[in-house]
Amino acid sequence: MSALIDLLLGVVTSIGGFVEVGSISTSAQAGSEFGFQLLWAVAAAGVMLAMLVEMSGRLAAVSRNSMVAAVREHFGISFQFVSLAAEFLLDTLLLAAEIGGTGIAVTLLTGVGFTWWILPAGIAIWMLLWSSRFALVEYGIGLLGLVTLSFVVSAWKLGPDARELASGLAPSLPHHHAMRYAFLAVSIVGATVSPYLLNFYSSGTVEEKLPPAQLWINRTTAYLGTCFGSIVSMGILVTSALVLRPLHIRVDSYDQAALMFVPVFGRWAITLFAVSLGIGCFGAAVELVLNAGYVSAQVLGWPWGADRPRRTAARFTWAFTLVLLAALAVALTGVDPMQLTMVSVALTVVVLPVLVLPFLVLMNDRKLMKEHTNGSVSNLLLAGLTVLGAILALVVIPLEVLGG
Amino acid sequence: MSWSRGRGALLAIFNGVRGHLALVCLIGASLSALAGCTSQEARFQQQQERLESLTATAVAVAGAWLEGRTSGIYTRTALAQTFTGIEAARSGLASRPRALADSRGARLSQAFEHLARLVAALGNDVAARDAASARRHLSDITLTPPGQP
Repeated sequence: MSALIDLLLGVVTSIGGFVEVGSISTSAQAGSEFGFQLLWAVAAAGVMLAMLVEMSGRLAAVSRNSMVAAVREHFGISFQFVSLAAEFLLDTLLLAAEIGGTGIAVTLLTGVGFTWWILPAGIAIWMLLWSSRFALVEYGIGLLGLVTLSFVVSAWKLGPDARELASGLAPSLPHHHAMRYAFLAVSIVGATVSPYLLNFYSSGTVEEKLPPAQLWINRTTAYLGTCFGSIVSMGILVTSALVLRPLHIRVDSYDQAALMFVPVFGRWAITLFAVSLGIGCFGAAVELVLNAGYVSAQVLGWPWGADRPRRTAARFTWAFTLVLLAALAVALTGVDPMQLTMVSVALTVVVLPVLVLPFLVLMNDRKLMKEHTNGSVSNLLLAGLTVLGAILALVVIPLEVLGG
Repeated sequence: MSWSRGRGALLAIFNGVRGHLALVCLIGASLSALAGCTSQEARFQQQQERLESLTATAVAVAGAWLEGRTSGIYTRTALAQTFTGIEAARSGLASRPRALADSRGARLSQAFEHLARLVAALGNDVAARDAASARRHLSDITLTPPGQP
């Protein structure tokens, strides 16, 4: 019975925690510019994420080690240094964007500029992490995040054509703006397959002490949670395609994106959008900060854990505090959170192979994983997609950023 | 794939990339230079689409307020953001003398300026809760085809 409750909570919180600044920005832009044509990118990214999350949980349950700690142990710190530096940089940028997104959500409701809400948001994140246990952080935020299901409700109520939806799930070439299309496809992958999610999930599995006998819980949570989460992202894309595209509105800001709720939710539209954006961004920011603490402590061999009294894990607490301060400094410059998001999620795809490939090698180590090693299909699929994505990203990012 | 072969291959790739950092940087710089060669025509096309999007945004935001579907707070915030977007696009055009010397660039710049004035006026109407004036300004926007001031 307790296993079933864990499973249910895991799936529900995965859905609630799926939507954040990256998925809202990329899906809203994709829908407003290309209609349903990029639905396949959301689906493909969802499959990649589900496979990687399941693997990171499996690794943690079998080896009792998080993903970052296992890679450091087997490849050495000099190998890991470059990838970790890149991940820290991107996580700091994404964290700044999440905090900015939280600020914009409050701005939509109050009219007070978003930079005024950055410090209060930072203090709230730190206080929550200082005072709460892992379960509250994970389940509390995930349950509140269920408000993002309003994107699915809006898409459903708008009644999209089933045949058009189905054709969007098959990759196709765009009729215009091919480079922009490729950039958005790359960004959707980067927004969905965030490296921080993998280590956060595996660290959580270590904290929850999931026994290898219950790997089915990990598998079901990873696949069902990610599948339903991807449906929420698709809801954003579909709503944007049906509401904003016919009006010729290209989403460049969250104020524009908020308009997508107006036809369905009327007077509640902006409030609902702001609450969805705010909770999604705040939840992701808390996870990013906590993961920064996990990664630092796991690489440097310090005691770590969200469930430990903070005084017995002082360096872990200092590590996440410093990353939070760095992100607050970036956010306080007033940089546009949506632009920051798009740059950081696209760059994520560039560094994805250096994070994923060593992890795949570990997942095939019989000494470490015993009878729970990967199958060849998942190895080839993930290795192929990450390398292909990175090559595509290397071509389209300079063209998009410098070509305007 | 055996564990030790995979680990060895990854370490070899890692060392290879580290040894050819200059080549990686050169490829990056070439792509950046290629991106810098975006044609004037493409830039005008982008600015035209941006103008259409910002015009549509202003119309949708103000229209929703007039229908009582959105609050004054949101409407003012969204119009202020739209104004900022218009000004950014306009200054982007104005910073390129070559673009302004072209008749299409000059027309676009004027269209942005015209839209900025109307959006500013709409913001004042919303602050003053003057629906009649907002309707007038809104019709001025919709009567002006994008790019044709």
